[in-house]
Amino acid sequence: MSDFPYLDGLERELVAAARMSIGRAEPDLSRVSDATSAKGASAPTSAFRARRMRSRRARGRGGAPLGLIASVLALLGVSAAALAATGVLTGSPVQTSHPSPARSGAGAPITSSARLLPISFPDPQGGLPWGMRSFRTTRGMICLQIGRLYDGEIGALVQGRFRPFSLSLPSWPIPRESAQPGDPQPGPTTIGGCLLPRETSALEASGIPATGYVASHKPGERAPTPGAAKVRWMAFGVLGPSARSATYELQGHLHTVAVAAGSGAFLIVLPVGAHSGWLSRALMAGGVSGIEGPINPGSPQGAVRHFTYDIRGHTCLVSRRGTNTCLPWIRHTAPLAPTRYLHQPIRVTASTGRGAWGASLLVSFRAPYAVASAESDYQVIAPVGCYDFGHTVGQDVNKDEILHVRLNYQLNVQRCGPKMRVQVIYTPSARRTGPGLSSGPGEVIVGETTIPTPK
Amino acid sequence: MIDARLDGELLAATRAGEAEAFGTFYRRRRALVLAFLGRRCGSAEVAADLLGESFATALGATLDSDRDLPAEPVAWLLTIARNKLLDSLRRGRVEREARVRLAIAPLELADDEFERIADLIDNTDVASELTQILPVDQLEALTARVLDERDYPTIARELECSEAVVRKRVSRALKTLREAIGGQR
Repeated sequence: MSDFPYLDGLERELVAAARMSIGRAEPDLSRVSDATSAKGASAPTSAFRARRMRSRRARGRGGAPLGLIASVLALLGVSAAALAATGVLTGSPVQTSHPSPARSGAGAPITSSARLLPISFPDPQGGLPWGMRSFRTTRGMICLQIGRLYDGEIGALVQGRFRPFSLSLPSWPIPRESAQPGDPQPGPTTIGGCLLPRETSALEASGIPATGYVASHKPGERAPTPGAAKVRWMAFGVLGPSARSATYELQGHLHTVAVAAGSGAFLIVLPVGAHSGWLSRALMAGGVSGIEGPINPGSPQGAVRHFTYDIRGHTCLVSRRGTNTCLPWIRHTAPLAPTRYLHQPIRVTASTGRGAWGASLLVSFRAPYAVASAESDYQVIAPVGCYDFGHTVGQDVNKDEILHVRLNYQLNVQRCGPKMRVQVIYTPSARRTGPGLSSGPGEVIVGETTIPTPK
Repeated sequence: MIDARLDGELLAATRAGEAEAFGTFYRRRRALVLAFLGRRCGSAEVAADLLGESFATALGATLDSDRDLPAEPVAWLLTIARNKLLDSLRRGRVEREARVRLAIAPLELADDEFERIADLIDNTDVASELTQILPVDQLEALTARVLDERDYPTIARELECSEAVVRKRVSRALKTLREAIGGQR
């Protein structure tokens, strides 16, 4: 029997799919049980809800998290006129400018909220230890900032001198030679990540300069290529109040460090040899880079072997290989509130690009609820047929504001079938209570429509 | 029997009607793609899921006669895998659209195989493999262009050389890679 029945089964499925396509037979979609299959106006499945929850985790890992890249278009006269002409949408004017940093993405740092976390880790080559602090943002996120620790401050060693960091959103992935012509003046950025309240996460970064000073570079400037002795690998995160310790491997030996009481914050800084992997690539590329493992927040990575927890008096661990002995002791949270349907009109304008491989939908709708933090958002998805495209509006939204979201299709949408269903979904904050939303984090389907697949 | 055909030949054979050729291509490259994904997403289970979606997308493109077949199948495959990973980060889930489109049934990953896949990921270092194959300047250019998907002018500025030089390095890297991988079959 094969050691890899999953991998071998996938091969059989691929070959069967190839054979079926070559023979021009129609795929039997009934074989596939998946949330993305069209099932009329069904409620989001648990898989879909899980995606929504995970997407929130994924968004919080840097100053410009991928999940927070807003696609709300500031289309002025043209869109407003088009909408007015159709009579589909009425209400407040179209947004006239991009939101300020304080109202989009992770938000802006709140200076008074900065706290030095009670953890530190010695530098592998000596000198100042590494530390971590946290701060809140205007959009309700909690950010971690890592650097050399000196006299209660986090900073970097620049030409042998300690320079404290100002509060700034950690950049993730850590930019390498990211500056482009026309960008603001490049400057130092900091290492860390941002999370939603009550969210836990463990991250991994490699290629961090020993100074803690990570600078982006002007166009044309060559990034410094640090020697291996001047580069660090690190793991950091917050694991929650039940976490007790983190265990990592260094040169064949296991070491355990306690996490910060209350938050479960931890920080591990190792020499590059402790964890190679993609680090060699970062070094070869002449700069620094970041690697994260956001899909399984809280999962140990790299040199970290396991985390231990104390859950209701039971000591248990979560290992890098996926072992989780804590499961029997974890309380299940309350079920999600039922999905609600508002049946509001949404407008979809389709356009096609080059050939059959470029198409886009411009989806316009009126926001029935305000968004005032990163804990809630609107998402536009097309959960039909063979595709499940979506986009999250990662910014504050006023109630009744008209939003325009563009979905870009990079694949051949014409094979999906003759029609596509487009949905606008609002997910409230778990803490939010209000009219119609008092029962918790249930999603609200603002509206949906079916359109001919763009040709 | 070992199939001695090059990757590109396998894809061409797939398009020509030999479905099993894609199975050979998959079997040859699955560990590389798994390691590529696993090192980045930190989860063997997610990597295995992304692997399926990546190869399904590759198969869909291979069978699409409107498209040219890739000149560099391995680089093309890793680019697909990387895009799938980024998509999953943006959306918070691993999509199944390519597999659904091809009616590929969901597969379950058993615990013991999960462990073996984790080992496979741990024991396959994509960067090191490429490093062993490519000179530094070629690896640098290839990484920037194919893995990081930066454009040639940007890479040229970073490397302080002309676009033509970057293109040449990428081209040489791909040629070297093709020959090396071909020689390892």
